[in-house]
Parts: sequence; structure tokens; C-alpha cells
Amino acid sequence: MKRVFERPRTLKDLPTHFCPGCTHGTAHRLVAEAIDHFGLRERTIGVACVGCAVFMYDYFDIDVLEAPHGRAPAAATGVKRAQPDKIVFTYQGDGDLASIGTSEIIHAANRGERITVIFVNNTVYGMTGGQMAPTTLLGQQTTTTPRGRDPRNDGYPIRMAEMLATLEGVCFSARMSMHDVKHVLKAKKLVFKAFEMQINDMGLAFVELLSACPTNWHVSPLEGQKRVETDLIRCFPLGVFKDCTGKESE
Amino acid sequence: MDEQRCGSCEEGSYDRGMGRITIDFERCKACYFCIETCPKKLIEKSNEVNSRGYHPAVPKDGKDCTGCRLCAEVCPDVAIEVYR
Amino acid sequence: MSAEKILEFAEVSGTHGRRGELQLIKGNVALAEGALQAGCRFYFGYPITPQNDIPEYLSDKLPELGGTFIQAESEIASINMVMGAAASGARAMTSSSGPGISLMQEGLSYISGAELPCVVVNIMRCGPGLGGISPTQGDYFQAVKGGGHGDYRNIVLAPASVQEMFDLTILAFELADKYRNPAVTLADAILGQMKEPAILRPAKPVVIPEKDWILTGACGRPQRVIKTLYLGDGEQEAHNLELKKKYDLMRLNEQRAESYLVDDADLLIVAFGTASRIARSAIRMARGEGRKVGLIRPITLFPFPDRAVREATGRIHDVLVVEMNTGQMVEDVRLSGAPEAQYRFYGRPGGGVPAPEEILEQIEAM
Repeated sequence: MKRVFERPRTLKDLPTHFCPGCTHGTAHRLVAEAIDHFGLRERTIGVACVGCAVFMYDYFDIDVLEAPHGRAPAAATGVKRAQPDKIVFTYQGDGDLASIGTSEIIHAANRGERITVIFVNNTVYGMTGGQMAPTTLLGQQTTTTPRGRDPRNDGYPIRMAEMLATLEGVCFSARMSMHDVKHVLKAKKLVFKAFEMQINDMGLAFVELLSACPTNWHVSPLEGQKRVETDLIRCFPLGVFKDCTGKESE
Repeated sequence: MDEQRCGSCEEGSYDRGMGRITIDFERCKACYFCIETCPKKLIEKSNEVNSRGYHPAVPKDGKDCTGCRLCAEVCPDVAIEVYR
Repeated sequence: MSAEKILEFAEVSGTHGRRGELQLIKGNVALAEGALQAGCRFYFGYPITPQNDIPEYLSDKLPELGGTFIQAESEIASINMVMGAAASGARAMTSSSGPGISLMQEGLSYISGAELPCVVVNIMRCGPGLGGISPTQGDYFQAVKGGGHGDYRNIVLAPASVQEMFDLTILAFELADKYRNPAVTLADAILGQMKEPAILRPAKPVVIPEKDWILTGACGRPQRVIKTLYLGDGEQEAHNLELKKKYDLMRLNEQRAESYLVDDADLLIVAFGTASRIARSAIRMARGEGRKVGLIRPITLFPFPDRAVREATGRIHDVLVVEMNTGQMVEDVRLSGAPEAQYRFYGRPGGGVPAPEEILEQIEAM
């Protein structure tokens, strides 16, 4: 018998701190697979964010720079401009990228920085215990929206993939979920594409991955996946919003 | 002859048929995505508990696994290896 | 111009004894040129008065040298871009004025904690808040005591001439790399905007050290991680103690100050930057009247030149600290100085610039 599925080389063989059913683990693996697929490990520098994914350097066997909350695209800009031949990516959650870091991602995207941005959107602040995120759904209960998100007070969920697709510096902007194996495999293709775009020096490549947060949604892992399917996708449509190689489609 | 699954093993595995999976007993966090995903329902919840308090997913006895890898693709903890 | 005046000027401007061609140049531009000659090839910054000459000059020169200039979206982005470039081994710089430096405090804290080198320039304007664009020394506390969070210190250098805007920038890069720490150049709107002759050649050859800790991709070696998060039991404490060792080494080895006519003085002025130039004029006027006044001019504000201040205040009982603020460096003078000395403060905040006559009045009253 031949082994036909194993842990990617770039992903260290360590237990993770992620909760059961948290698809950060899946997203980490997809990124590691992309790095291995294109043979990038030894020339990749990751820029870690603040949030549940802050321990990226413990899981990816690559050089990693920790950035302050939200600033990863700016720090990544510094790294990539200093080392344009290296592969530089950020991996950010919804607070990091869509709240405190909106300026940094928009301007890195606007400048067309040759970096790859992986955005894990689970509509809630995980690490800090379940507060509202910019991507929290209307009516969704969080620790800071105990009566559910009310647009009058709290605004609306932000759709980053669509917004960034309007910027000319962006070569790729897509959104996918990871709630079942069919979607995990689609997500893998998009993540691979986003790294390939950087290899081909095309602009900023952005992939938003819808994820569950069973702990802060107060649901079981399987219920969490179901909620991504029934609730999140309605608010955050799946698809490719920009592909400068000309293949915009779902 | 089928291997018996022994309660003190770290991995559940079986060794007949076209495909085989191993699930790292200690690494599994019992999210059960694999159980939900397996098209042939060849994975089940264990009655045993690992050192973190989870009832891990374990492959059932039998030889129907085709090595399709869907369980491994969906596992957030990369706890599954697949052989064919 | 008399030979005496030329010499006096050469002393004030710091060009005395230097070989090379004098150029009449603006302080901000000399500073930017100093960065280039120090090997800085990465500048990220945001416009703010009174330092815009720095990004403007570098936006022109850096591309010619194969360097990178980005006008970033904010000062927050700027300091984080500096961090990324520093982690890659580059000599990187940003510049701003008080309000923008406030935005950079988080970044400075991270850069210190991560033990990365960088140069941050503050061309001070008056504040607090939006304040004004006139010169001040009101950001001494921000630079020296650390406006960011955590147990860290910035190396702080205080130029007092256009020549020093050039020289001390080169020194800032050298010290930043030597200690793997941010170095802050603390100047003000006068130094930034004034023009003086200066010699734009380094006093000694610039040597950029090897860096075996930078993030270049884990090729044939284990991964390197540059971070500031320490959650393990006792880890953060151990890290802080390591940082403290560095700061103690700085205190031991890097104190710099200028002494002017201190040997026979019976009245001492302590002042830095622009205030020191004005004090120097007042001292010459006082000496003309027979008063024996001297000046200690701190050049490093961190590490504070306690040895020079302690020595001088040990001998000279009457001390006048002159600053363009409501009293910041004076606290460190009192801390470092001999307890038996008498300390007085004279300050003009909010863009007020003292005339030499005002300081002379203070001297005469003592």
C-alpha cells in the first residue's frame, strides 16, 4: 500500500491549540500544501497576525515575523520590498484584517503589493472570547451584541473580498468556505492560485475563507459547519470576484 | 487475517481491501467531520477517551475503504493518513 | 567674516576639524542625506509639517539608488513597513513629527521587543494634540521615557546643528544595528528647516554589520521566528531582563555629551538641541560681562549622559536647565545631578523660542 495522504512537509507535526471543529486547522493545512506544491518553503516568509492564528510560527516550518494587530499587510510590504524574490504571505482573522487593519489591507492591495493574503472569516472574535467582528451577521448574538447585531447601532457585515476586488492593484480576490469536503477542495484550488499569482508577480492575491467558530457560536463542530452553509454563505457569497488571468467565475 | 483493534493502540487501523486509513488517536479532537464525510460510513466514534478527554473518531473494522481521502481532506487536525 | 567668527561658527555647527567641502543645506535634507550615506535604502513615511523635506528628498534619491520609497497610508503603516524591512536585514527609516510619532508607539514597542534595528526621526512641533508647526522640545518624554507600552527604551540622539543632523543619523543607524534596538533622532522644526554649511561626508567609513538573525527563508537551516509574544512561564520576564542588559550596556558605553567652557564655570547650563545653541549665545554674552558660565549639552538623551552631568554639577553649584517645553529633561538632570547643586529651570513651550537675552537675564538673576 502506498500512502496517498499525509501531513504536508511545511506543517509541523504538532497538536494545535485550535478548538474542535475550528477550520483554522484546515486553512493552515491548505496553505502548507500550497507552499509544498510549489516548492516554496525555503523562500517563504509568513507574517503572523493577532488572533487565534497568532501561533502561526509554531505550526508552519518557515521564517515568520509577528506583526501588531492589523498591521500584517504593512509589515509584509516591508519584507517583500526588501526581498522581492521571496514569497511573503499574511494569514489574518476578521478582527485583524477587517477591523483594526482595514487601512493596511486596502492600501497594500491598492499598491498591488506582491503578497498573498489569507483571510479567515468566522464572523466573531475568537481569541478574545466571542465579541462582535465587522463580519458578524445581522441578528447574530455575540458577547458585545447580546441582543443580536443591530445595524442601527452596529452597522453591517463587511464583505472584504468584493471590496478589494474593486482595486486595480488586486490580481485575485475570491471567497470560499470549508464547511464540507467539496468546499475544502475548492478552497484548496483558490489558495494554490493565490500563491501561484505571487510566483508570477501579478499583484495582491486575496482569498477569504469562511470558517466556523463552534466555541464562540456555542454550537457543536458539526452544527458549526452547518451554520456556515446555511447562514454565512447567504451573507458572504462564494466565488471569484477578480482574477486578472481572466477567469472570473464560481 | 484482520488485525484486531486493540484498546491501548494510539491508532485505529485495519489492513485489508483497497484502502486503509489511520487516525491519530491522540491528535483527534472529535469534531467528527470525517464521520460525516465518509461516503461509506466507515468511521465511528470511539468509546475510549484520549488523554485530552475526547472520544476520537476511529475507523471501523472491515475492508470497504477505497482510500478516497475525503476524510483526510476534511480533518482540521491532519490526524488522518490514507493508504491505498 | 573674522577668523574668530568662522571658528566660532565651525564649533557651533560641528564642522570644526572636518575635512571636506562645505555645502549650505537644510537640516532635514542633511538628515536624509545622512541616512542614504549610512546605507539606508528603505524609507516609509507619511507627510507632516515640519519634516516633509525628508520624504520628498528620499522619494527623489532612493529610486536612483535602487532603494524603496513608499509614502504610506499612515504613520501606523509606516512604522510597520519599517519593521518588515528591518526583519529582512535592511537599514530602514521613517520620520514624522509628534502626532505621527504618537501613532508609531505601538510599532516602536514591537520593534524593541522583537530586537529589530531601525531609525525613527521626530522633527518636533508644538503640542499636545494638533498643536502648531512651530519648534518645541515637548516630545522629550515621548522619546526618552517611551510613549509605547512595555519595559523598553529607545536610543535617543539630539542633534544641535545641521552637521549633526547628518552625523547623528549615521550614528543612529550604527547604534540601532549594534544593539538591535530602535534609535530615535529627536530634532525640532528649527533644526529641520534651517540652513547651515555642513560637510556631507561621514566622519569615518560606514560599516554595516552581518546579521545572522534575519528572515530570509528557511533554506538549509531551521526556521527563524521574530516575535514579541512570550506566554510561557517566566519567558517574558527572562526576555525583559535580556533587554535590560542591553540598556545597561548602552548606559555604560554610549553616553555622549558636549562640554562647553565648563572647566572654570561657576554657573552651569544644561540644554539640548536648539535650546543649547541659544544658550551658547547667552553664555558668550555672559562671559563678555565677566560671568563664568558653561554648558553641558547632552547629545544622547538615552542613555542620558549622567556621568558628565554628575561630574559637572558636583563642581558647579548653580545649574540652569533651559528647554523649549514646560520642563522635561530637567527631571533627568535632577536625577543624575549632584544632590547638593541648586537646579533652576527656564522654558518656553508651545513654539516659543527664547532669545539669548532671556537666558542671559536668567543667568544674571542667579
